[in-house]
Amino acid sequence: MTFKPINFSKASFKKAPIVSLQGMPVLLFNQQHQTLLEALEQKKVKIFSECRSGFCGQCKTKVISGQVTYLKEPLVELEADECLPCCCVPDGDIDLALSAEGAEVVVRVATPKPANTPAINSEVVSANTTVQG
Amino acid sequence: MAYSTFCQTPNNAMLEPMFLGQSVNVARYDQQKYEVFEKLIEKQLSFFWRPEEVDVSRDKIDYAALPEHEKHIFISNLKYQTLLDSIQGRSPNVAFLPLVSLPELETWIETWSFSETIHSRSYTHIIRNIVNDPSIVFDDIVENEEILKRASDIANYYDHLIKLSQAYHLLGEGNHEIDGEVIEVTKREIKKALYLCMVSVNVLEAIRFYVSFACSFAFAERKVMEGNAKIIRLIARDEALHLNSTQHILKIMHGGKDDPEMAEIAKECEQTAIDIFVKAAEQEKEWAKYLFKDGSMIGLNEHILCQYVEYITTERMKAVNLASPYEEKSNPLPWMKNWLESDSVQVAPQEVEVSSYLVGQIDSSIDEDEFADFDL
Repeated sequence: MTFKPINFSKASFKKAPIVSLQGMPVLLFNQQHQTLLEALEQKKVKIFSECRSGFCGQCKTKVISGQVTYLKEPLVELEADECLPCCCVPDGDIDLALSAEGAEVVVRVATPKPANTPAINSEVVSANTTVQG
Repeated sequence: MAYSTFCQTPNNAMLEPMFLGQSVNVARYDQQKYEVFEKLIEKQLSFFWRPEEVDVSRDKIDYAALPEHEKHIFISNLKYQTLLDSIQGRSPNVAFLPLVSLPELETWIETWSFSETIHSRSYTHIIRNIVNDPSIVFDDIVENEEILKRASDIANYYDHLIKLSQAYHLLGEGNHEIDGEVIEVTKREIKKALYLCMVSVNVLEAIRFYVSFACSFAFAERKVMEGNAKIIRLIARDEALHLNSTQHILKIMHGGKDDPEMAEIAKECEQTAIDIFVKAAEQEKEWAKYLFKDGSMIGLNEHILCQYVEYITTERMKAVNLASPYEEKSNPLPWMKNWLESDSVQVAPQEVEVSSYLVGQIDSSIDEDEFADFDL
């Protein structure tokens, strides 16, 4: 079984892919992350996984838009719109059919303007709390 | 429709359905209808391990120091797993092989079942080490009511399928009187029995095993019975692969491209399939009650284990497109992940962190990209 390692010298030309969940941007996939699964877990996205090396198929996830590159060949038959996050990395921006509920996301919160604070704050909030803007 | 071990009618296996087509004659793997089974075989072979490789000698000391109610939890789980693997070590062969019609699937079933026999042997390895008389443990498996209750539920689907297919091979389709009981044998009935049996096997590998896994890993989280946990970890790795295969078989059956009648049956039996899942989950919750009847262990109690059963049932049902009656929740045992992750399974001391390796393999594929940074 062989797999093609991603060529980082080539990849570095591209901007880091944005990973969205059902249209909501959740994270920027950069080189700190080994796999898509790891990146999602870091943001506390609810995703079920088991073997984490592509043979149990438990983390199978639907892709709404975007492409992935596999780090090793997954042992699971995947439909055209499915991916195994435990052994792939996004290839460009990607939108996954996972719920962002409970995930730690950075959102821009418009706050009523007190005298000495900037109008827009970037805050890490939990997605299930009320978020405006 | 007598069964023949080598059917001499020439056929193209690529056109046969998974089950109940013409039985396999030439075991050839150069052409495959479903390549995934070949990949599963390769993976399973690369996972090969033997219980003797794992040193369990410290477990004897640990076990002796456990309080009585924890000894009960530990031994009961081993008994239950022994039962599960006793069934799995033979039943896929006996039940599925006479019906299978694809060479790669036939070989996968044999490989799968063989790996279960290794699991059975490892229970003897563990038990022999911690008690002086293993018979006390093994003999109780066929006497313990809590275990027997579930054993009959697991074996039933297999037994029914085996009975139907034996009657079919011996007498063909029709109503046959066997042991004073008239049974209706049709291909459709066999397919239905086969589908439900596959669902029940999926449940066995996907839910039932995980209750014992959780207990074994809970002990090891406390740094006791670690030899046992190492073995269970290897078993869990195999089971994850088997689980993938049964989920895949079910998916092919649901799809209908392989056998349209099977897809019809799957649709017809949807509620029965859901019931099999739910009944198993409820039985496992009862088992949790039995395990913790004299007291909980540190890090795990009846309530958490029941939550885990519900959590895992929902995930498994999602994987085969069934609706779960349990509400979605987050993983109540987050540390299980560390134990189920296969790449931290240590196979041999010199192979730390590598869960599988193929001996003598050469990577002969080379991409043009590899030369991109070459300067002459």
